[in-house]
Amino acid sequence: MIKANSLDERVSSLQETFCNNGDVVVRKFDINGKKMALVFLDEMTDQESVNKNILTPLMSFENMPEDLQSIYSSLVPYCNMKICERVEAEELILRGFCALLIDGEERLLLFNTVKFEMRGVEEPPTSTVISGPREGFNESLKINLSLIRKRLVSTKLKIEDMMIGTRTRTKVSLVYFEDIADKRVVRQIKRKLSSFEIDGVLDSHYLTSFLEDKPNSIFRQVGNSEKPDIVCGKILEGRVAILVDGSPIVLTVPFIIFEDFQSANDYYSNSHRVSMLRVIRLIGIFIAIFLPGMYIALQLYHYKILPLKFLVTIVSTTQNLPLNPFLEILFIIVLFDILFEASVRMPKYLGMAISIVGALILGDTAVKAGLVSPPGVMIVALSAMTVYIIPAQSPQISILRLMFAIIGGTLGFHGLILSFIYLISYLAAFDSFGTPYLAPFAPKVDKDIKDFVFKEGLIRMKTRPHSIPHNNDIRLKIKGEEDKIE
Amino acid sequence: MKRFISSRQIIFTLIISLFALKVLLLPNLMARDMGRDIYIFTLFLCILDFLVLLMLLYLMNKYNGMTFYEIVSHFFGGHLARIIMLAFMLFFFAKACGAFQSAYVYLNENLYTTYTWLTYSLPILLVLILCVQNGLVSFARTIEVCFPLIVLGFLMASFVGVIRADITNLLPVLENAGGKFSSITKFAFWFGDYLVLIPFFGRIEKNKGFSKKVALSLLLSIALLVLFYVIVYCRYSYNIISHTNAISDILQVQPSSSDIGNFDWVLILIWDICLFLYLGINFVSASHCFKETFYPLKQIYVSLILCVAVLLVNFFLQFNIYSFVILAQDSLLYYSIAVQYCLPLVIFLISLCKKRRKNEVSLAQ
Repeated sequence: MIKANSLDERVSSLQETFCNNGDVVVRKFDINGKKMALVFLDEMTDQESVNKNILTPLMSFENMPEDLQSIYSSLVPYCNMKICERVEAEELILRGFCALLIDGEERLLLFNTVKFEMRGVEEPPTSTVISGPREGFNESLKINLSLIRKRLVSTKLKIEDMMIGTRTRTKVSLVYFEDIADKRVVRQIKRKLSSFEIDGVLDSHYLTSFLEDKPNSIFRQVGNSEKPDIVCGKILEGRVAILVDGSPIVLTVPFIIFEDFQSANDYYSNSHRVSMLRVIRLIGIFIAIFLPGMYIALQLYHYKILPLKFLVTIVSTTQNLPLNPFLEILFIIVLFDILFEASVRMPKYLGMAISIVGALILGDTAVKAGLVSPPGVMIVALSAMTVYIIPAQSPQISILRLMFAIIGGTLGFHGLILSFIYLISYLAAFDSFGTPYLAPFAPKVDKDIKDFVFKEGLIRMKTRPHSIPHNNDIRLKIKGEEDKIE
Repeated sequence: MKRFISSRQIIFTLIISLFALKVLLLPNLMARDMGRDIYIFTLFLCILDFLVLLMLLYLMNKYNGMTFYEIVSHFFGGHLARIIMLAFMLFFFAKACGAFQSAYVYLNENLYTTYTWLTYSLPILLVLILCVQNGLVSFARTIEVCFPLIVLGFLMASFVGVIRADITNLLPVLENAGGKFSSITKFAFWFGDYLVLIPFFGRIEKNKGFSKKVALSLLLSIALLVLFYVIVYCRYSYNIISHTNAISDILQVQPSSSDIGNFDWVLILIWDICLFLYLGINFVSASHCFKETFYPLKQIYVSLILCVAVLLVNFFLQFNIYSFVILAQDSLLYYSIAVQYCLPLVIFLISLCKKRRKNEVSLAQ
């Protein structure tokens, strides 16, 4: 228990709490015989603001009031300050607040003087758009919340704060519409987020495992985005956004797998074009996952069903290879993944060199040396390219590609069919906060089909997605048509 | 969204059950006895099945929210109910064995030059266990995802068949009808598939006009099935008896083209999906009845026991489809008639006489 000892003792005690670190700035002063001290962290605090807004008004005052409350209410012209106890003050100092200690006063006066360097609001590198807003979240929770607030100007927007991490004390905010989001979903999220104690949360991804029903699955069950317009769109649909201080990635739940098939551009482009692109994405996914496996299966087990000319081409290019088709494709897949890993980790200026070495020299030489066949390289290259057609799903797809290649090589088409069915059954068993993972396809939700593979115009999107639990169905009313809305 | 099974999923499940095995060896077998009238006798057996479906739908509506076991135990008491569930379990198990065997023959004839029974059995049983482990809802959703593919495959196969069909092959109609009719019971085992509704009792989210939707969809499906039989016979006439798998053989109308290859493999693969789902439906139904009979057992053990049993049965039948056909037309015949027609009829008649107690209604709801 902290007692109202002399100011020096209290300051020393505070310094000890902060391990007598060198970045703890203590400025003691005396006004009309009243001893005071300012305590703050050097690198987290705006010292100009301390000088101008705290020290200057205090020192220019002639009759210093006795109590802290009077200073709070009439002395310092500062909009964001509060009186608090020692324990709370310690945390606020760590966050960049400046504490004013007054001799004889047990409590402290805290000023929000937070200032630290951060990235500006830029277009996120992971989700660039051709048209539409280019703003992206950054690492500041405050700025991220402001980006949402500025788009969702409503008194019903609810922001609930939590602290997670015993050592990082990371601020986590749940953002949702009070009158749209399902209360059970919100309760469930809060329960899950308060069900564990972790030492640190450095990014929003730390929380995903705790929000997922099957944390060991390769499939993600929590949505994420770096773009405020996407997150606001999801909040408007009845989802809950989870913002974590220090992370530009905002999580959204409930999540369905088809969210990843949608791109930010889809909502700023012609709906017919969008529908076509979504079909192409689906085809791309199919190629990415199945093509290597099918190619191996065709060569090993079902070569009779290949067109004759294609079969002749394959036979003529593969007859002298030292590896069988199965090992050949696995070899190229692994080679590609090594190149990918290397180019991601390499400094940017080396990335180009790696690409040239990988694609041109290794690929071309391997074919010429008779280690791999040109159709094999082409199949894996096509599949590797389509893995990134949906960037959010690329880790899962590349794992599935490898698995299906192995299955195709060992069991042929029947194995591929069985694995496909099991994959569907596995995904169909997922539920993300009461939302089936494969909705609106399985179970089919008729009203949500309008924004599934084929996207209809905004004018037809009169209701919120029924797959997502919500309390308010209507999102669009056209004057004169109110009665027609179901 | 609650984890219920939608009426759409139920309809798809029933349609898959209706089609899966009937478009493989059955036209061949029936043609030996029925000749050109196979479609008429198929229609007759389908209508019998349809009546059973109506009885089941009546039970489902009357005892809304109750499982099949609860209904049966309400009529007959716990012990007898278990015996009835055991009878159904054996029926579904036999069906699963048939599907397992048929899928093996189908794959061996259409996709693989050599496919050993072990390479076939182990993966399929493993996937079956895993799928069943995911639960009934997930299985119903899987059916929902795969169904459009299956319909597409079936319609394309029928369309390809129509191109070379000769309708005059069907004439004269019902020649020596009495003799043909007397052998109709031989094929009962290939019917009675609507009993797969049993595990879904009490788990369906019934919306308005549920029974009507189910009945109409199934009537349409029966019409399509009969049409398929017409096409198959018109296409092959008496040669039909040399075609083991009607659905895949009908596709092979086009000789290997050097440009596009044998494109029929896409449809063959699609029917492979249908066969697996049919096997899964019967496996799920068998394991449901198994659990109702010996309820303390965990799902994983039930699945393992059934898998081993399926494997053993097929092993003793030497993975020979004709051994299974003999079994189905001989030892299993009266059993399947009793389970798929008599038992539902008895339960239905008792339900007509018996009133549902008020407390059961509230309990179920």
